[in-house]
Amino acid sequence: MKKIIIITAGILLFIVILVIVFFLEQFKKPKDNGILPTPTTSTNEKSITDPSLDYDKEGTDSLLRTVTTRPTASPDDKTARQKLLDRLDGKSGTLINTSTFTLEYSKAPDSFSAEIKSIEIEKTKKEVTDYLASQGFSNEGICKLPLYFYLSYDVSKSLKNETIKFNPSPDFCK
Amino acid sequence: MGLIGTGFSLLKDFTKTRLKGPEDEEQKKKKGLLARTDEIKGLKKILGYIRNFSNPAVIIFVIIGIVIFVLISGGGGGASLGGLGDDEKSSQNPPGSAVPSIPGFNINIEGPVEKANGELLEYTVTVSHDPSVAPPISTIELFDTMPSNATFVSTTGTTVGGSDNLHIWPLSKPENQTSFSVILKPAQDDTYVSYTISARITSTGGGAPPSLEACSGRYDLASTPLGTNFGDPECNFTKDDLYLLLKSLDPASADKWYYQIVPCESQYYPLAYNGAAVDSAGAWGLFQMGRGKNGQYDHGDVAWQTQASNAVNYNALINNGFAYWACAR
Repeated sequence: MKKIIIITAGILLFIVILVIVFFLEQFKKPKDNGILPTPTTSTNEKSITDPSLDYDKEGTDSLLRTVTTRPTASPDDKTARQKLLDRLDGKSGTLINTSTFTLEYSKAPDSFSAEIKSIEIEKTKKEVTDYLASQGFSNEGICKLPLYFYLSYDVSKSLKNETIKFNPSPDFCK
Repeated sequence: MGLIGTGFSLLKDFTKTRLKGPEDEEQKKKKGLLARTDEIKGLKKILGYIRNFSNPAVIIFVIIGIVIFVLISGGGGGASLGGLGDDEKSSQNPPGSAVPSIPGFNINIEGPVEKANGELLEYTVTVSHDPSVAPPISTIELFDTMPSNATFVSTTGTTVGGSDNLHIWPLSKPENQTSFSVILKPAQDDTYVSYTISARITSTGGGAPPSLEACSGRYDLASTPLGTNFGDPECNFTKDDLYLLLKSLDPASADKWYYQIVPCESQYYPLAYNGAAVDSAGAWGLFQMGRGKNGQYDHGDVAWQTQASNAVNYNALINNGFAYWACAR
């Protein structure tokens, strides 16, 4: 009987100590010094921006898929890519700058972009992919660079009222 | 040294000689008996302890003792560093554990393990930044968490803003970019001081005021109603830095911002302006945001670094749904 009383008292004492320690630990936790965002009064259902032209959803999705999954290129395409990077000593920079496009490599995202400076979008896109083909790339290799297009600010503004679906990927990329 | 070696040698020989004698042999036997008796007594004692230990009450008190010991020993103090809410405590922290959310960036803090009462505590903070991976150093700042049992005395770095309990070291200041020290004074004797320094990307980093820089003809300042360079006032915008900043601010959606939203909304042009936007104040900058209509983050009329943090912060307010941006659909 005496044993049971001692055990019960011991367990109760243990629980009381645990509860006290738990509360003390709560007080010890440091307060978060981060800046909390101030909620805004409006979280608009409809988009607020009004871009100059529409982007093709399929082409955009294809580009995002490629940049996130980074599919492996063939050995020949890998060699051609390395040759381009060697020209820039592995750094970011411009590979070719013409009156209609500027082809660049950006090291941080590890991707190639072509700024289109002509309103003849499809023609200019072909100029870019033809240039890359001349550097030893297959169509598949161009897609896997990855390469994407965007319009220059001036061209984009000049096409504001046109109904164009712009595909940021080369058209042959799936 | 040679003398000490000789002394040892003599003592050894002396002991051997004594054990060789017949009287010593007798003593040796007695000693053996005595030793055996002591051993048996010791064994009984240990068995007694074990019997006592089998008493449930003793077990419970031993467990309580162990729990209290573990909890108390875990509450030691020292300097520490880390991201927000990091409760790590050590006098020297392993590199790479500090700010996991900022790639290519690390801080290390070293401080005294123990000091005599009344002495000051000096901590050395070392910064390492890999510009090829990390966001621009000017967009990062360090800040401390002052312990309640110490006061701030001085720092060799440059602090901006803050208060008695919060000190901020912007890394845009060159003197903060490699190493600086901080001195604290314990407020009482016989105490543990836990000091934390953390790093964060600042929403105002690189937030220089608009300039009249056309950046070698890169921008047409007359194309916005402001007539100034609000988006890239220091002419340091690059797509690489934008990507790195987005990776830091919103790693999960950095690619979506970089490949989909920014080129579609602004063509990577930090001074982009659309006066015919839904917002009557116009749409501004890389992310085509307004001039405050929808709160503090709805600002595109600021430097590109702040444009990026505003976009990410605003998107967080709308549950990361990108509903603000037509190009995100």
